[in-house]
Amino acid sequence: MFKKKASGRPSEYTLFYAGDIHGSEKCFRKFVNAAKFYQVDALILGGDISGKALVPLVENDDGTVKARFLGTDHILRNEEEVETLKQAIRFNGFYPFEIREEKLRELSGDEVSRQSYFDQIMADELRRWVNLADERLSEQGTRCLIMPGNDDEVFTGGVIDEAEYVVNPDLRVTDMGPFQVLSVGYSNITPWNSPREMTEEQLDAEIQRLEQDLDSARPLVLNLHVPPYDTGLDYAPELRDDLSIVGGSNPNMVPVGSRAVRDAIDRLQPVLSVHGHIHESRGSVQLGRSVAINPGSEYNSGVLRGVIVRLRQDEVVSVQFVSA
Amino acid sequence: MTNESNGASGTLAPSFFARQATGLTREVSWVDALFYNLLWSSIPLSLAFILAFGPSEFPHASPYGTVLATLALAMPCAILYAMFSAAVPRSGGDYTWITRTLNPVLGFMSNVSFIFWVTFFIGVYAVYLGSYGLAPAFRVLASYFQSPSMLSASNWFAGETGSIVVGLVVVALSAAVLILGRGLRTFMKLQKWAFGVWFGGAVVIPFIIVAVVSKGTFVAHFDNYVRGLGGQPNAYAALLKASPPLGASSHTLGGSLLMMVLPFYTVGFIFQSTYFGGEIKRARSSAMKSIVWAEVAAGAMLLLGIAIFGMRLSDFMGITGYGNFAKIGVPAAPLYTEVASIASGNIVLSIIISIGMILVFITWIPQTMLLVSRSLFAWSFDGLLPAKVSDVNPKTHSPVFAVGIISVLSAVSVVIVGLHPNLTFVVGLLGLTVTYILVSVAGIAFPFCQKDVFEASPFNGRIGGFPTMSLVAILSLIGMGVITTTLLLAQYSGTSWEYNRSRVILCISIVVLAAPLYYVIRAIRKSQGVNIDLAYQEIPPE
Repeated sequence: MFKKKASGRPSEYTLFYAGDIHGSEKCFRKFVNAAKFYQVDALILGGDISGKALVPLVENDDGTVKARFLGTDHILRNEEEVETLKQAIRFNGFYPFEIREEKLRELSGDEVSRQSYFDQIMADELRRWVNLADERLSEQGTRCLIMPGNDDEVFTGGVIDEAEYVVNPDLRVTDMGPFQVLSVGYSNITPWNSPREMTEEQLDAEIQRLEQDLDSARPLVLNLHVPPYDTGLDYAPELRDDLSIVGGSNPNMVPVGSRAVRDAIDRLQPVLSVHGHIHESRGSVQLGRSVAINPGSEYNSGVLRGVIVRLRQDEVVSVQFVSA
Repeated sequence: MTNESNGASGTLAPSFFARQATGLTREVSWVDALFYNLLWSSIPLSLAFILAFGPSEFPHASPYGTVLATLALAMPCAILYAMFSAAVPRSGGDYTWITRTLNPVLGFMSNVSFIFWVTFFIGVYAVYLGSYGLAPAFRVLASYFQSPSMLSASNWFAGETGSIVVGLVVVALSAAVLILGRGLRTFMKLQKWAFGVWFGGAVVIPFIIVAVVSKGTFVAHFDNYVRGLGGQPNAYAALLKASPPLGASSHTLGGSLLMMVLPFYTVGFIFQSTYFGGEIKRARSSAMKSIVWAEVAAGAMLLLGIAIFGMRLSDFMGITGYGNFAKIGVPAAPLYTEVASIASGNIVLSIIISIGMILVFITWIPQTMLLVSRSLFAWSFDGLLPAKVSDVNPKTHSPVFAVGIISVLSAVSVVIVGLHPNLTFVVGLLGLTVTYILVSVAGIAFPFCQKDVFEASPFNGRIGGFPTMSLVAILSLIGMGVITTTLLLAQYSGTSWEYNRSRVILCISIVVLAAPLYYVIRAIRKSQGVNIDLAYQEIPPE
């Protein structure tokens, strides 16, 4: 399974894991380039690829474009200014889109049309990204798994499936060198009613269904978007019903991970279990013989938080967090 | 690109359309951040120093001018911190900003210095709790109840053993609070109330009492107070005879600048809410508002306190800095809060004031230990410390190992400061200014070295084509340069180059020695197969 080095020791397999880039074009490009930069054998993007908001750039009759972004009103007078603002918007993980004011009014009053319009924008952006990854990584021969998370719309997986080289591992058991990877991008229920959520019971059933496809002779990596419950990888600020933070500047951090995921790790004892979802809970923790990791996220600063993991057979040799 | 207001541009587009997605919480209110900044800035302590030591040790200083000058010189640094936190949210403050903008070694040097001195201040505050919090509280009770045992307790708290024991107990309790996650949550919930009590007890009530009590009443209450402690009758008159008032001195610009070391004790700590992040970059106003208003509020409290105590009890407050109180039977010179307690002649008000002052110190310590733990985590994640340091205990859900390290360092600080009480007087501020200077340098470079991050931040404006952030950083560098100079020149700063050269050398050594330490750690990690340079290197996004 593992190639033996001349010394007789099995060679190492190195992977780079990141997640939660939330529409940040800069972070995605860094992710793709991480293969070459860190000289790794595989890349995993563990969910929440899509941005959280769309920013309209409204075209006026006089040729100017108006927009409001990060609390500032902008009147853009030429193509260069429009492009600069678009870059800033994409940098923050939002989607810029140019639109006439009449069309914007029309969409504002029609939720179904608006959703469809926005889905198209997001799908086009994601398709562009996946094509970029396909092009670059196929040349290098780096294995690349890109999975939708709970914040990605249901159609996202389909767009990734269009890829020729990149693999969407969601709800499947896939190969990654000598390892088998069991992946679930859905999360447990959140206060935000995000697009891809499951109850704990549903998550548990889904993982158990996938377990049927595992080969007991091969080492296992779990790629589950939501972190295991109460492990320090899943602490997020406690929220009130109106989504305001309890404690204000000093939030109460409470565990919000999944019990089903925790049970799966305890039951399957994979070599490695990689997670995202909770940006604030960067860390790694030993759960039995498994190393569970959440590299956190800082996508809104253009920083790709990730982790380089060196694996040898059924053990983790080293874990290195990076802020690229 | 031009920015125009709503009114100038007519109907404007909706800001954005948010999807149903996690993490889109409501922004932390700027008032919350304001509370935190004020809580951490120890305004009562600064005011106590200005009122007690200003007249005797800085006779040529105008206290009003000094406070205003300190605010003006420190404000750019505070604004720069707000700008940085808006551009790079949730990132561990100076360490991240400098490592990413300048280089990892400078970031490590800055943060080592910051953490060293902040940990040193934990010891200082723990000792202050004994001498400025508990000792006056028991002294007031001793006088009211005419209790020698309470007076003994007060003296014990103010002494070497008492301050060390109290300090170690507070550090241990703080560690317990941090380790028991539930305790920390409760502490966080109580914090706003604690702020209310210290604001009421250590600021509002003392100010009102001293503003309304006549000089004659104060003298009568003071005489009663001293009598209650077993001191001599007509103590006020005796005190003035033994320690005559200094009289008026002319104020000079130089004299006023040298006294900046006292208000800097507050102003230098006032922007720590920037160490908190948010899911979406903060709107233009939130972090900035909380910092600017905290500075304004702190300045207002200091100026008001100086005015009230200066107008009503000018001579007496001056004497508290140099007078021989032991001669009239009072073991230690009272701080302004104790003076207000005495002026009130009311035990209930005195107890509220005492609790307020005690809370100033008690709330600061666990909060600061938490701040230090964040840096240890950051170092651990970057591979500079073993991964064990960032381990979270599965039973207590807290970073037991990191808290253990901080507790040991804090305990060492308590013992050192307890055995050398002269270290408490503002020593350490010089170490903090090193960090602020390096952050200022990073701030100048940031818009050029991290161009896209700067452009995508809310504070990406330019004045005459030059980034506003860089201009603010230049002002910050100048401000911190002036303050650092006064810390080196002022005889009573605790870090005077002429009088305390070894301490200055210590401050410099800590920063300088962090550089070889970084390279030693780097070499060790390399031998373990981990290249820590990767932790900081940005992947080209092309």
